[in-house]
Amino acid sequence: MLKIEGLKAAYGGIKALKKVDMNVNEGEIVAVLGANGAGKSTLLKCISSVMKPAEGTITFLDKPLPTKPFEVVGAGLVHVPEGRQIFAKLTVTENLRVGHVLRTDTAEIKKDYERVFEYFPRLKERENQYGGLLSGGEQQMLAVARGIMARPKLMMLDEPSLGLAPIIVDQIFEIIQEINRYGTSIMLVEQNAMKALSVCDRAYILNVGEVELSGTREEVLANESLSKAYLGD
Amino acid sequence: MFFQQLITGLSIGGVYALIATGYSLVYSLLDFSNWAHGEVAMLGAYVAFMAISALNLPFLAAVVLGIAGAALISLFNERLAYRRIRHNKSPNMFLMIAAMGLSTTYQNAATLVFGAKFKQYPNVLPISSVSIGNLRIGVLDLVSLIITAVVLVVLIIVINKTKFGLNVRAIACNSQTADLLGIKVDKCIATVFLLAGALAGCAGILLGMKYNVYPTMGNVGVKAFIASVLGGLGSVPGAIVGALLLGVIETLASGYLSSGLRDLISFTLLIVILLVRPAGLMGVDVQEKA
Repeated sequence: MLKIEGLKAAYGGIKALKKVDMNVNEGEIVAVLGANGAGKSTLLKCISSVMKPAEGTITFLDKPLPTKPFEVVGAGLVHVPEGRQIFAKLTVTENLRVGHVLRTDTAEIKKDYERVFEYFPRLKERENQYGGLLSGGEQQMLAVARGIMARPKLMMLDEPSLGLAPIIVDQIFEIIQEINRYGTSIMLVEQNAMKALSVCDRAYILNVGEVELSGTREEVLANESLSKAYLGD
Repeated sequence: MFFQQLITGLSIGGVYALIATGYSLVYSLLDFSNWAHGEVAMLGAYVAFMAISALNLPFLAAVVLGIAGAALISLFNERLAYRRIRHNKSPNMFLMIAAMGLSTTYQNAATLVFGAKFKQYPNVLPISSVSIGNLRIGVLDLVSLIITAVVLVVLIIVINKTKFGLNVRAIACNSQTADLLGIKVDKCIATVFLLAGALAGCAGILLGMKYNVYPTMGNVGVKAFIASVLGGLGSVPGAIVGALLLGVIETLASGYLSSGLRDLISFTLLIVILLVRPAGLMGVDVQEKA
């Protein structure tokens, strides 16, 4: 459903992506792994149209990707950004309302509220609290929940495990699989390679702006040089 | 005497609030001091004046035209200058400098086109005052107070209860994420400039009715700035509270001390607030004040 061909992007003169090819099929969880500065976030910025690539094409559902962020969201592609980025001075409910800003199907929106509160009962308890008062884990839950409210066809998650306790990470990853079973394709960008490889179907390894390795989960896990470099054994 | 002064103070404070809320809304979204905002009020007052004197329109039609004119000029500023600076990802300081440029340009253009002389609206309201108990309150003060109260209540409802208001608050919190989640940020900002311009136009006409219309009347924008700092920069309720307080303090100072001390007291207040409580009365956290 998402097809990236020959993508190049740069900040000023510094090349962040040097020709990246990648695709995500309907129903998959695809992990994008790599160290700091590998170009993972740049890739996501290009896909959500907040950054213009220098070269290359991105197609989504067989159409060229729109060029404005709200059109991308409207097309069914939502980006859950790194570091949560929840609205600190809006309540939990208001944060969720921003999530479905472009939707008009009231009855379905109501169902998604129920779904989100089923995934994250904590958010229901804290409905009227300001986002800024939530704990780190709760903020990450809210960021994912806010993404769900857009009812995307493809959800891109940028480092959902960042700075969270292992038990919270497990919870979040369980929900990510749950969202996937509901029919949403997932693109999971992670530094926590082991964790990401435990849930994904396929993975890409980015290294300084290039795809170094790609394949099914099993293929990637079987690659020895990778295990040495990223998985720490 | 005291209650009369209080009503007069609230009435002038209400006019400050019309300007301060628009100023504060823009500040909350874009983090810069829109120094051209007072000039938008001035131009609104002139549009209404010209509609009466040149086009012979009835007063109410002129008011509508003045408010619409101010809204469009405010939007024009955003389109001509601020949007480009934002899209170039230039520092916020550029926005403030552009605003200063616009402010000076409008003041001088108004002097050139309309002349420096004070203009007066025809007297549509009786200059008399009404007596409530043993209070005597000017009709204009009362009308002004009612208009501003209604407008500000509607504004608060729009900000807190509508989808547009939610989008504005989300952008104020984190504009990049608002963009990422599908809020049409540019459109929202443009609407806020229209709204702020309309409020300023309303204020300009009320000031013109109370005093006169003249090219430097936009300096009242500084009072709106003081009011916003007093209430907490970027907070709309803060701007209203700050503006009403400032109006009352100024009126009491002119009434009991001397009208010459009015501005001295306003600016002293500004300095004291910046030194003692920079977040303002309704405390929004502050990194940079400009």
